[in-house]
Amino acid sequence: MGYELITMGEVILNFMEVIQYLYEGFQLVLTPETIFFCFVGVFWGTVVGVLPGIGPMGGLALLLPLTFKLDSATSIILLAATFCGTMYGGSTTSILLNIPGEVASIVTCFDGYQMARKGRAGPALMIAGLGSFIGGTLSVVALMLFAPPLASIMLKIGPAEETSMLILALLIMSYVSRGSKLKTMAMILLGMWIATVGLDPFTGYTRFTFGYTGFTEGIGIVPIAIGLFGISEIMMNAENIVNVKVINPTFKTLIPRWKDIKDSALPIIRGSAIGVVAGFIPGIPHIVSTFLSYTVEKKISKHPEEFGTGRIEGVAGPESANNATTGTSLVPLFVLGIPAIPATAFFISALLIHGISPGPRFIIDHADVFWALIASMYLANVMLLILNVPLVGIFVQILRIPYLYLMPIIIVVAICGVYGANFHSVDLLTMAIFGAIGYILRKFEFDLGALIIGVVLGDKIEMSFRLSLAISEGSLGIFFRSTFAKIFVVSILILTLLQIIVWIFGFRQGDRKKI
Amino acid sequence: MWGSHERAGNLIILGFLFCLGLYSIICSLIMPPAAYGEVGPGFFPKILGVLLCGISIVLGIQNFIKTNTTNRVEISYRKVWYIVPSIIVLAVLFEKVGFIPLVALLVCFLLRIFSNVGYKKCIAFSVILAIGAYLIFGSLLELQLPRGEWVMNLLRWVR
Repeated sequence: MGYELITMGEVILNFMEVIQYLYEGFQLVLTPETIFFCFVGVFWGTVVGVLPGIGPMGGLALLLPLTFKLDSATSIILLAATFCGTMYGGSTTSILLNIPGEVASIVTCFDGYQMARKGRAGPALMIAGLGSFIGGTLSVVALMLFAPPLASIMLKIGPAEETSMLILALLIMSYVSRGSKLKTMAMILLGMWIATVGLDPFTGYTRFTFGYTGFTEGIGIVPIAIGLFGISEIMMNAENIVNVKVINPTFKTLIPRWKDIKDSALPIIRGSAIGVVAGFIPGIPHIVSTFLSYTVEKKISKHPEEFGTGRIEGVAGPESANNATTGTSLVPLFVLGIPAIPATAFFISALLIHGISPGPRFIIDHADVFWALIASMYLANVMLLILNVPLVGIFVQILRIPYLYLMPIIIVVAICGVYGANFHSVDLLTMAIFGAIGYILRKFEFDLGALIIGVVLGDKIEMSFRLSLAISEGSLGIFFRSTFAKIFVVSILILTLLQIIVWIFGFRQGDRKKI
Repeated sequence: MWGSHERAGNLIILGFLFCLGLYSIICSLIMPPAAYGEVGPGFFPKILGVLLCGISIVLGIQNFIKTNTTNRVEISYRKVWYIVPSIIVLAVLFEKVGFIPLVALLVCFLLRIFSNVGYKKCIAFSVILAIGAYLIFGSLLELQLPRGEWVMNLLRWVR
C-alpha cells in the first residue's frame, strides 16, 4: 500500500473543501425545524444530565424511537445535541448537590460543591459552562479535520481487516473498562449472542427465535436499550427515594470575577487538549479525561493542598476535558463504524434505522448528514452556553420535582417509545425482561455499556467475518494477508496474552482486589 | 430487603451465561452445514457459545478465589420488583384494554406502592398523566397507541 506525499497546495485545497462542506452543513442546519430539534436535544440532554435519576444512556435510549419519525440528518442532529447536553448537564448537580449526574462529573463535585457551599455556585456553573463550550467546540474542530482523511485511508480495508479491527476495538474496550475486564468481555459476548437472534443474513436460517415469528428480524435495539438503561435505572433509584435540598444561585451571583476567569483560562485549554486526545481512545474517554485533567491541575498548581476546598481550576479543567471528548469520541464511529463509547452506539442504531451504515464510506456517501452533524454540534455548543447558564434556575426547579412523580413519567415515556417503534406489545415484554436483567447485572457490577455495544456490533462482526472466509474460500490465512490485518491480529494476540499474564500474576500475588 | 452474597449472585449470573453458551453450541450443531468455501449459520453462534462457556468458567474460578464471602449485595427493595411484573401485565393486556386505562392503573399502582400519596391525588395524577401522554404521543407525534378492543366493545355495547 503506497502513500503519496501531500503538498502544501493540497493541504490548502483540502482545507478550503472542508470550509465549503461546513458551509453546506450550516445551510442544512440553519432551518427552523432543525434548530428546534437541536434545541430539544440540548435541553433534553441537559435535563438528563441534571437529573440524578436518569443517566445519559437512558436519556439517549428514550429518544431513539423519536428518531424513527425524523429523517436521517435530523435524527442524528437530535442525538448529537442530546449527547453534548448530557455532558454539560452533569456539572449542575455536581456543583449544586454534590451528586454527579453521570460518572464523568464525579471530579466536578470535589471543588464545585465546595465553591457552592461558600456561596460561589454561580461562578462555578459559569466557568463549567464556558469550559464546556470551549472544550466542546475544539473537539468538533478535531472531528471535522481528522475524520474525513482517516476515513479515506480506512476505505482501503477489506472485510478481514474490518473483522480484526472490530475485535481489537472490543478487546481495548474491555481492557480499559472500569470494572472487571473479564466481566466486560462476558457482557460483550452476551450482546453479540443477542445480535445473532433472528434470520441468518447469509442463508436465511432462523436462529434462537424459540419459534416466535416476532423475533425473526432479531430483538429490537429499542426495547433492549430502554430496558437496560431506563427501567433498570428506575429500579435502582426507586430503592432509595430521597428529596434533595438544592442550593439556588441567583442570576446576579452567576457572573465570575476577573480572577476566576484568569485562573480558569489555562486549565480550560489544558483540559480541552486532554479531552480531545482522550476522545480517540475507545472505552471510557470522558471519565478518564476528567480524572486526568484534575490530576494534572493538582500536580502543576502552586497550592495543591487547596484542591478539594473549592478551587476554580478543579472545575474548569475537568469540565472542559469532559466536553472535549464529545467530538473526537465520534471519530471511531464515523471512520471505523465502531462506537468508542456506549452512548455512541445509539448513533449507529439511529443511522441503521434509516438504512445508513456508519463506517469509512459514511462520510463520502452521506456527506450531507455528516456535515450537518458537524454544523449542529457547533450550534449545540453555542446553545449550551447561551441557554444553560441563564436557565440554571429552571434546572434547579426540575431538580425539585420529587422522584416519586418523575419515576412514573419516565416509565410512561419508555412505554410510548418502545411500543411506538414497532407497534408490538411483545417489545414491552422484552423491555421489562431486559429491565430486570439490567438491574441484576448492575448490582453485580457487570458493564451494561459493553452489552449494548456487543448487540450493535454483533451483526457487523459476523458479516465481515463470514465475508472474509467466503472470499478466502474458508482459509483463515486471509487474516494475515495485508499489513493492516497483520497489525490488528498481532495487537489482538498481544492484548490477550497480556490479559492472561495479568490474570495469572494476580493469582500468584494473592491479590484480594477484583481484577 | 432481599439480599445475596456477592459470590452466590455472581455464580448465578455466570451459571446462566454458561448455560446460554452451551445452548448456543448445541443449537449450532443442528443448524444446516456449511456450503463449500463458506461457513454455515451455526459457525458464529458456536464460537460465541465456546467463548461464553470459557469465560464463565474462568470468571467462576476467579469468583471462588477472589470474592470476599462476606460481601453482601442488596438485590432489591421488595417494592422495586413490582415495577417489572406490572409492566409485563401491561404488555399482556395492552392491546385488549388500551393505553389510557392501563397506563393510569399502572401509574396509580406505582404511586401507591412507593408512597403514601392519598387516593384522590394518586388517581388525579395517574389520569392526567395517561391522558396527557396519549395526547402528546398519540395525537401530536401520531403514534398509534391502542384504544383497547375490550374498551371499544364495551363502548359499542353501552351505545
